[in-house]
Amino acid sequence: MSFDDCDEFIQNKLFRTRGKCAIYARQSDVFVAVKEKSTVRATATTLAMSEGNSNSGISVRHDIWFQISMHIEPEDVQTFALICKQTSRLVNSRAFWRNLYRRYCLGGTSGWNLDLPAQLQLEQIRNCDTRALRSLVIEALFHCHRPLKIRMELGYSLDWLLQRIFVSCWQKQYQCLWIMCYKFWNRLNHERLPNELEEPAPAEVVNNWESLAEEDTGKLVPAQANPNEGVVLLIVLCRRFVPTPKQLSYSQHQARYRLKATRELLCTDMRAKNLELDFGEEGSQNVTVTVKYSRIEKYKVLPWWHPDFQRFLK
Amino acid sequence: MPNIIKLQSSDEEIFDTDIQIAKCSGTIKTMLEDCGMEDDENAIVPLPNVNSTILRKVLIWAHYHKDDPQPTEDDESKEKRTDDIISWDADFLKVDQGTLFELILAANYLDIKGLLELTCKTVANMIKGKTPEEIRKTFNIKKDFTPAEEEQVRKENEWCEEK
Repeated sequence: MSFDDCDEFIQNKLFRTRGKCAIYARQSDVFVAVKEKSTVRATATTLAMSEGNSNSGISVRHDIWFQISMHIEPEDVQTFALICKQTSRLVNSRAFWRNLYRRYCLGGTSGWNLDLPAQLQLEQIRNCDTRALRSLVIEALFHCHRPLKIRMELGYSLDWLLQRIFVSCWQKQYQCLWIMCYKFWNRLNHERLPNELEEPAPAEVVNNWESLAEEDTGKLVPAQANPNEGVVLLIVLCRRFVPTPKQLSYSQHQARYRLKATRELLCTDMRAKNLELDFGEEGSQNVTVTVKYSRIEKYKVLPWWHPDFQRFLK
Repeated sequence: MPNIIKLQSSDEEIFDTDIQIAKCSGTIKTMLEDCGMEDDENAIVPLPNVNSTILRKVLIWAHYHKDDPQPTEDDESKEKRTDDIISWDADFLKVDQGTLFELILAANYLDIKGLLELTCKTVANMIKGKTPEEIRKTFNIKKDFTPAEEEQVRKENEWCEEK
């Protein structure tokens, strides 16, 4: 590194740490200074929290929520996240998911848990980024945490699919059966598609300069977040082939379809069931496409965290 | 070696405490050992982050649990149950929410794992089975989500929904 480059590098580091980081300076420039810590943590009393009679509501400190978040059970995560922005941010933190994994999924011997497949073992997930970690821990919880496991074994109802956006449909033939697969997801209009590239974030100014020192050594493996998060598959097994309606196959004007309703009807001989799926164009209240499967053998709803999900994914 | 140690709360109240009880706090234990205060009868351990009301509660809890075995590292990584609170602890924590939250902070500062776990479990139990709206009402917390944000959080965590 040339002298000029070195200066620029140091300037950059100093700027990013708001002048607090001097460890990258040349030897002759090194000085020792006391790093002042914020006194808010030490002095703020929680009595402010108890001023509960005001209409605006109290503000619970972040560290209290943090401690509570470390004791939340997996089935209460959504409720906890929905309390306020502080709790929802905590649920998106790495510490939260590591803690959940440690409490519910870690095996006894060298961290190996025989209930988990290889890709969900500690060694495989410990270095991935937070979003990928979150997704993998959720999958692991459905292998290890009994209430979730039972819920999954009971199966998911068709209600899980309602109002989801239709993505694609494909068929496979297995012996004398047709396996019809529907892919739905739950994204909103304004949300980005998973394959959309994110612009690189500008170098952020950090308060905690120690994090810069860790930057070079503790780099995360650039694992992709699970692109299937939010996806649910509907698998229908039937003996007769039913073609996909052309509106769904070739959507005109980029129209998006949502599943509006489902009906499971007993056949007249009461020996089998018919399944009907109503689709409607997004933004419209009317049902525009109905797919009818008569005398189905079985159907299954597979959300992205289900262990069988990958088997049916195209 | 004295059996009694003086603990000073943030509002400068002095608590004469049995040294073994005080040592259930990792913070106090370290201070006593590292600063050589153990042998000094007149040494005062300052606890600037805990007021006298909360310190009194903490010491009552520590006195009751003085004979409990120390949690091992294995215990810490075990699946935490939220329904195994003994009745004495349940009665002990029948306090207002401000006090409960201050106890969490104090247990964290004093490094008392048992008390931290108990207080957090109690709040986790208060959350269990309630809707977010009911929880906000219980703790008097303002809803700060926009409808779109709320919907997004709901969708991100739909995996724990029961339908």
